[in-house]
Amino acid sequence: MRVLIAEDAKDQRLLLKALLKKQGYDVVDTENGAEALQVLQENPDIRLVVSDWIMPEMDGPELCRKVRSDAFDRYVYVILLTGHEDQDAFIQGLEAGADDFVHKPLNADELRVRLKAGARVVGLEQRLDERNRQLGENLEQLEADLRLAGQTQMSLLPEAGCLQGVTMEWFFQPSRILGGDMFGYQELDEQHICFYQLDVSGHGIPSALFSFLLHHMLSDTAGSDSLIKQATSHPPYYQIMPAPSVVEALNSRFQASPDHMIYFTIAFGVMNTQTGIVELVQAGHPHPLLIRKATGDIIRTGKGGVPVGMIEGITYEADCIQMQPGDRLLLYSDGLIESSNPEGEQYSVEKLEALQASVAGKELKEARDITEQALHDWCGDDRFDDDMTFLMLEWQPDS
Amino acid sequence: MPFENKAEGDWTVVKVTDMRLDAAQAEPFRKHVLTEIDAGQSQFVIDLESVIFMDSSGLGALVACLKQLGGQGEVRLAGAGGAVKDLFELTSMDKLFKMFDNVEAALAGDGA
Repeated sequence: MRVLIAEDAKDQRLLLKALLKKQGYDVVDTENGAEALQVLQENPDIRLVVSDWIMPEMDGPELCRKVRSDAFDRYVYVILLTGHEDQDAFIQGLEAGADDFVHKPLNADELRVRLKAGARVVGLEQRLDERNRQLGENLEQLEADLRLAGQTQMSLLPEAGCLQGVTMEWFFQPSRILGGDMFGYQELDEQHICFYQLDVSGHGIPSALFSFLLHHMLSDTAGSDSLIKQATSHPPYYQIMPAPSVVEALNSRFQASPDHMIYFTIAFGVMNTQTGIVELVQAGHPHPLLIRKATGDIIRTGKGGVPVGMIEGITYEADCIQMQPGDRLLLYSDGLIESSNPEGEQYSVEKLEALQASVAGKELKEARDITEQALHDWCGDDRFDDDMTFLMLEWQPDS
Repeated sequence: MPFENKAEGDWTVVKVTDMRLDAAQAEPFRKHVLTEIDAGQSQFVIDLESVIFMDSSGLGALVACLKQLGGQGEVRLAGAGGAVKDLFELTSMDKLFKMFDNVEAALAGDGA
């Protein structure tokens, strides 16, 4: 281990150097505090210092203060040499930041044990530093992985657009990098689309992984075990599954255990884009809002239901909705209506309904932007407590 | 202890004394009741009168108790009001639990 000496008296310096070398230390010697400080700054591996008290340019206590200042990035163990025996000097030295004292005239045994104690502390500090560094690296790696997973999640989300006369706009904001919310929509055949928005209980990685899996299952319209569209032996050789069967199939597939209660709420709909009839299942999810263009009425849709994965054998009932041209549906996660303003007041369904009524006459994209802005304004900053997602659909059939 | 147990005949009344049954309290609650179930208790009344806020993890904890019983027992919920009642309605919890206005009604088994 390297030891730095600061001692202005040449004979004392040489004596100290000889003693320390004999005890197996690698010694660097300097003539005052300023010189010692410079060597410490240039040699980050030196963590043990034996310094005289009174020296020109910078004395021992001042050297202590410098290495204890915030500007200094590591712990250095400082032993002050003192001829003083009085209490005041002792306190002054400790206040300056000295770790220990060795009395002059030097006693080889005393010096040896005090340095040994110092080396022990320095060893401990170094191990702590190393562990902190490793933790920091691991954390960085984890965060990089999370950001990557967050990008993957974003890449699963469909683009805003139009399917068979149904215009889609959405907003998706995980409370952390990853969220347990998910949504999607797709064509099932020339005149049917399906859409959903779901919210896995909890937040973060476990919820996000589950939401990825659900997204995958709800995107599968061609596989032999697709929940949404199944092959039949007669024309048209497929069957679009009723919305309740899809949710019931998910419920039987994903039963939570008492030790691991992970489940999800979902609003899932199948729409006939020719007739405007929507079959909508709501399982523990907030009621999707139907926004009537002609009257500006806002109607809470859905017949309710238990969240998916809670209890086996649950049946679900679809709400059958007749859309009119220009009507909208808004699916959203509870994070929206439960988001709190700085005063702790929740946003509420009522406010969301009033907002949708006020933007019913605007273009869908503008309605989406206004809704997002209202949520930001309500929360007061860019950070949300819960995942927030909404999906807006507007039916405008070709006529 | 945020939960208080009281024996009423064959029933164990578990009172949640905290105002919130959320992510922080759900796990202790689940463990608390599951320990009782492991000890052989099978009939519970959960007193939610003091609870003003419950989230999905609180809901999960209640259902975990039900699942742990596996049909060999009963969990009745008492005194849910306000936002807790709204949450139960939204998630159709009445399909899973019998709901009562208060502990007395739950023990008597009528009302709801």
